[in-house]
Amino acid sequence: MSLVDPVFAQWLMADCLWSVATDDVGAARWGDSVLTQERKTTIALKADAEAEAARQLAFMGAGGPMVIDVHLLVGRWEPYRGQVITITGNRLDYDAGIDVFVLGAEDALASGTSRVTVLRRL
Amino acid sequence: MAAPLILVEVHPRRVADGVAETVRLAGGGSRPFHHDGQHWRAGIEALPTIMASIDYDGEIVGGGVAQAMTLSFAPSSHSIIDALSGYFWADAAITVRIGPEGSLPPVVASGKVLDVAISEGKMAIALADPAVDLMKPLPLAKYAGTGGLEGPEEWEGLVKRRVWGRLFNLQAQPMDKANNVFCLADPMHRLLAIAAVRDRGAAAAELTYLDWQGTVEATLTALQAAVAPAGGGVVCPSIACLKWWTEPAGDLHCDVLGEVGPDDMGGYVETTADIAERIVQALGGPAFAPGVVAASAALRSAPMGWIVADDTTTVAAMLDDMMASVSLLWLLSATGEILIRPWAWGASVASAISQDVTRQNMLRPVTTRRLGYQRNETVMARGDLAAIVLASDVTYPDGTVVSDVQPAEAGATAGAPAGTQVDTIAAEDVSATIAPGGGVAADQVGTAAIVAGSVTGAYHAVSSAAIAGDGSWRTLVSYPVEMAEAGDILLWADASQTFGDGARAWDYRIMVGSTALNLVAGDVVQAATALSGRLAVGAGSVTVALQARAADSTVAVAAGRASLLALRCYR
Repeated sequence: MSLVDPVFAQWLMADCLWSVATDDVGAARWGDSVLTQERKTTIALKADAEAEAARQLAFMGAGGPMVIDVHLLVGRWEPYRGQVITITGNRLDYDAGIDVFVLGAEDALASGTSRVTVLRRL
Repeated sequence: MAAPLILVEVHPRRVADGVAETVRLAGGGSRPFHHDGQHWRAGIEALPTIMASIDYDGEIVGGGVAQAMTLSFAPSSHSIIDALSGYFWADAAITVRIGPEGSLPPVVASGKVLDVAISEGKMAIALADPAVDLMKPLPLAKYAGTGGLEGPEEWEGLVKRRVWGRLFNLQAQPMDKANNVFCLADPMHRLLAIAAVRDRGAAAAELTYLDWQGTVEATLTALQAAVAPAGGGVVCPSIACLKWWTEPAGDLHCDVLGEVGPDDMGGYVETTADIAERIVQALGGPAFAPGVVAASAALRSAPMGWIVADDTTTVAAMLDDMMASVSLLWLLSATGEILIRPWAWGASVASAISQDVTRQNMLRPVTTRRLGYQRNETVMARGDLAAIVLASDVTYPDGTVVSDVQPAEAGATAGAPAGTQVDTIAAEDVSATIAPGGGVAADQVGTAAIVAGSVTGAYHAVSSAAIAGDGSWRTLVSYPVEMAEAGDILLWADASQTFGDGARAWDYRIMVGSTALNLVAGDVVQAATALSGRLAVGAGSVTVALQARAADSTVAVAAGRASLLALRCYR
């Protein structure tokens, strides 16, 4: 008789357990162009890992492509890192105003302008 | 309109004696620079450019707060540069304020000087990344190797681990081999619990608990003297140690609930934000912005675990890793406080008109996200585990997997000629012991004979007179089991919900002969379904029984039903 349950033994010999969130609609639409991303987290419980996987998948474009754009804006934008702002412009289809996630900024205080790097869902 | 005013306050040290002095520089605006009751030397050439970014290449990261700024100071006289060149500038605290003239401008950056260069009458002051204070390891205490709480001689210089939150399969380190005492983390930091202990992967048969004895030393002494139950141990989370009942067959591993901080810090914590705060506090700062920890803990409330087991990983890297686990990121405010923000498409907080735009790159769609959880702190090899062979790993020469033809597998004897002996049983009789779809069929036992009719899943009627409610044990079900030879008997019992009134305290136990097994005390009647037990018995007849008692003599006991099932006998 085994002293260690075989299923439990599999975990003892692994790095962690895994939860998966999948966007089937996006996968069908984009075919071979899609990516699978994974990370070993510090989360303790399965239910929390499942919720977090769905949350992260939603941020990563929810099955659609994303782009990184760099805008020239007036003002200081470094404090907005990690927040969503709305940018309006007449190029690259920003006419209607697009919500973007601010990744970085180079605030030129002398000129009062900033080169702002943003993440945008297409 | 006057240009914005820039005021820079730096605290370089004198080379002669290392004492810090305050140097105030200014630029923009209109002269002379008298602000905040002080004179500021003119010469800041231009307002700086502040650069800061978060890395993102299709993967969520926790930080990436790289920030850079360089100030150029070009005074009217080179003698001023000469005077400033006599200071030691590296790591000097610096604060940069920029704003309209009038009141003291707001702080736009603060931190430390990274380097200073002088050329052609100008001094370039480069600011270090504001996060530089977090880019160093957590200072850990080290074992002296002098015995007791300082570990054996061979531990001298080893770091004392720190643990927070929920950690799984953490290896216990042998602190006192003579007394079988093992240590999980720094004994000076109390753990909330040692929830499980395993020897080569096999769970402890029993764990007892040793409470705090007033001091760390007294608690260790008490643990060394404690008697551990056979097959188990004594856990003592107040000093992050345990005692095993004997020299373990292999390494001991534990599941733990980590450090309990002082009550004024909130005791035990297990969310990412709370643990991040504890680690930064252990480092000595900087502070989190007011309210940000509580808000982030509410936003990402998942329990997590973190261990610091080396003195090389920086706190900034720790924050990156743990924050990315729950889609958070951290950065520093202009005043040097830590902010935490979620990676989320939340509501827009500002609007802007794009003057120009370029597309840097396009990211492929991510349609599957895999997240690992319940991190195994000690990945074990098969040889590290106790007596385990996975049947699915073993195959016959023809490729048949052993687990597919295990004795209780449906069809295990299919094709065997009639009369083929399987041990002492004909193959055609073996099939009768197998349930449809696999598993041991009902009412089938191993090698011991049990009297006909006694092995049954049916309830035995219990009359209302069976339990008087006077606190004495009464037998609900009893029958003899005939053991053909010495072996273990495995029993399982339950009582129907109609037995008793379901509202008062009852005790239940299984009896094998005169030995009581698996007493369930003070439970309501439904809990009796948890009763099971296994006991070694000799050959011959032994009486098994399910007994109950009720302490309240005033209880009127209704009639009910109960059953006791002998499931299996082992040789």
